[in-house]
Amino acid sequence: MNNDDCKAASILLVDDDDVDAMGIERALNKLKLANPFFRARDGIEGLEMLRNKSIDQPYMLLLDLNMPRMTGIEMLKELRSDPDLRGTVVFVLTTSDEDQDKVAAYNEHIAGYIVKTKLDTGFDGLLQLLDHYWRLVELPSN
Amino acid sequence: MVPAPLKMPPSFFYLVVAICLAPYCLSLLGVNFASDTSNVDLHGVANLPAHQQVEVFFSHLSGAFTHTILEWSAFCVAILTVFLAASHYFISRNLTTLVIGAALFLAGCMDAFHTLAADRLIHAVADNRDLIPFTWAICRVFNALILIGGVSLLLTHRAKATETTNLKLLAVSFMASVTVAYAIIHYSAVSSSLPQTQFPDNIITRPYDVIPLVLYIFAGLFLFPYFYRKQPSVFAHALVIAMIPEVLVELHMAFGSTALFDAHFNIAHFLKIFAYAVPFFGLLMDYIHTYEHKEEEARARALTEKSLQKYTRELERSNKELNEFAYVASHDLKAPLRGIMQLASWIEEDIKDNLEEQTREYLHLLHNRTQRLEQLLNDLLAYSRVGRKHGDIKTIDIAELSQELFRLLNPPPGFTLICDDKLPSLNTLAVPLEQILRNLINNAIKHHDQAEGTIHVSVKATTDGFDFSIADDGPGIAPQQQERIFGIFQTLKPRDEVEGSGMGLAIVKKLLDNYHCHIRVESDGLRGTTMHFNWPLESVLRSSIHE
Repeated sequence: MNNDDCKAASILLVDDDDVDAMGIERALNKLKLANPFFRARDGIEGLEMLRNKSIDQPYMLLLDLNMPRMTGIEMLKELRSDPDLRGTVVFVLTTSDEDQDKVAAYNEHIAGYIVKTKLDTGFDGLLQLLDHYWRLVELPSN
Repeated sequence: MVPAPLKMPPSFFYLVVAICLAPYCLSLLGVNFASDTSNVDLHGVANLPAHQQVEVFFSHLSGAFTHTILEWSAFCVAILTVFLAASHYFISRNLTTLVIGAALFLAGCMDAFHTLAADRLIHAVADNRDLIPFTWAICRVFNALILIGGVSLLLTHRAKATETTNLKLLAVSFMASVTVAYAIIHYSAVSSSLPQTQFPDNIITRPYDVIPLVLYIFAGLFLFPYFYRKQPSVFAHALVIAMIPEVLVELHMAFGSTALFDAHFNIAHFLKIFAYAVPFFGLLMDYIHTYEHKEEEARARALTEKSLQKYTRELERSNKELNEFAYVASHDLKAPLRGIMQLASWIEEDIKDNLEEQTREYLHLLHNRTQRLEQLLNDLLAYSRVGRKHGDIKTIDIAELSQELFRLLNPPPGFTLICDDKLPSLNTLAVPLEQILRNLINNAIKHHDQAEGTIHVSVKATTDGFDFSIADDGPGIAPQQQERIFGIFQTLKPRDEVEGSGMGLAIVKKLLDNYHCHIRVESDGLRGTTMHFNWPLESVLRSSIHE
């Protein structure tokens, strides 16, 4: 089956930084990508949106680590212990370059760990990667 | 707490003086201390029934019994003294008490032999009227000499020898002295011709006792006070006081006693118990004092340990805080900075078609400054992380590594890196050494003032490691600046001229400090800089990792 036949995968950004959210929207517009974009400000809000099924299937998660109320690692643990959500494809998108954060995140079976400061050209590169990713990689659908 | 003075309480001194003078005063008042045997009729005994015969003998022997009881009491005190001295020694490790305790016990042993011979419990043939005064005098001389000898030994002895040697020496001389003491008494007891010791008609009734009298006076006035000043202790003080009863004993004997078991004879024997008891009480007081001292020490130690634990906890807490700060610096400070950078680039994107030259310049500067701030934060973070990880020990070829680092730093075309011919391959911690070399080579390139430059890398093996040198032909560093270049955020040129956080050498220095190594700069300030640093052997690195 070719993903091109399906509708574009949704992107849920869980990040407390508004500028980063704006950056992703800007990049989506600039690259003329049609993926539905959703935004949550922390882990609790993100989980709520996922459990309410308010995100169009299929979807990918862009997850920040350092957030108020519920951090990214905490949200990952919640996701992986939830029978409905444990298969979610998650990319961590953070400023943290700490080894301990990388290890903790990969232990929760993330698809990739992206350090924001290394995105020299803004989010364009990341969005291109995601575009290729959902077109080529079969995403789970519940 | 004020430590207790190292002396016996004054009341003890007065008590001793009072007890020593009491018998003489009482006898002046008419109290008779003599063992009176004059009313016993030994000739009529033959006609009496057996049990009454025994009673008559007993009455007749009352003087001998008194003598035995008094002598034996003194001996018992001597036994107690030596045991207490031994236990005191095991707490304080102070030889004084052990030596003097042993000396007193020795003297007591000789007194005991003397008593046994007098009572005919060991073989004796000499007439008691000669044997008792003669061996008494010998015992007293022996007592005085052994005390003086013991104290002299302690005064001249310097604690050079080991503890076991001291104890062995003490045990040997003790056994030898006991044998000598027994031999003297035995020889006297079996001798048929002992010299006359009692002269009832002279002023000095027992001249032999003048010798110990003089010895005790000398000890009490000079030697023992000197010893107390040299090695003050409660016990040494008691030893000085003990000379009061000793002198009085000898005064009673030398100038008073005219016959066996008379008043002066009995008073002297009674006071001799005191002469033994005073050092015993001194030892007891010293024992208590030492014990209290040890208790105090233990309390102080416990207190120190407690505050040490407190400091350790405090240190752990502040270390944790520092780590948290590093994390905050890495994330919370960098996140808003990134926002600024992004917003600036969006503004640039959105208005780039009608952007004035001035505004373009401002935006460029804004971009540059935010990037610099980000670099500063990154380097500060790197500095704070130095030492947290050592990495693994690997084999690295210094020449190969230097060339690779040089290539990765993208030097301008005119630059070359020359390695010495015989650069070694080392088994060493690759991560910190690589970081040090990278920073130094980077500095050599970055701060060079000409289009062409040469960097020399050389390594010399020394007895305790390796001496590295990185030499360049750049502008040099003025001598007055050479101290500050290792501080954090120190640059010698404005950052707009040479981009840099000023953390490179600070990180190098901190890395080297971590392995107790040093870096030094050599430059005349006109041309060329050589950085020298030493690096430890593999074995030293391994042990410092384990720390």
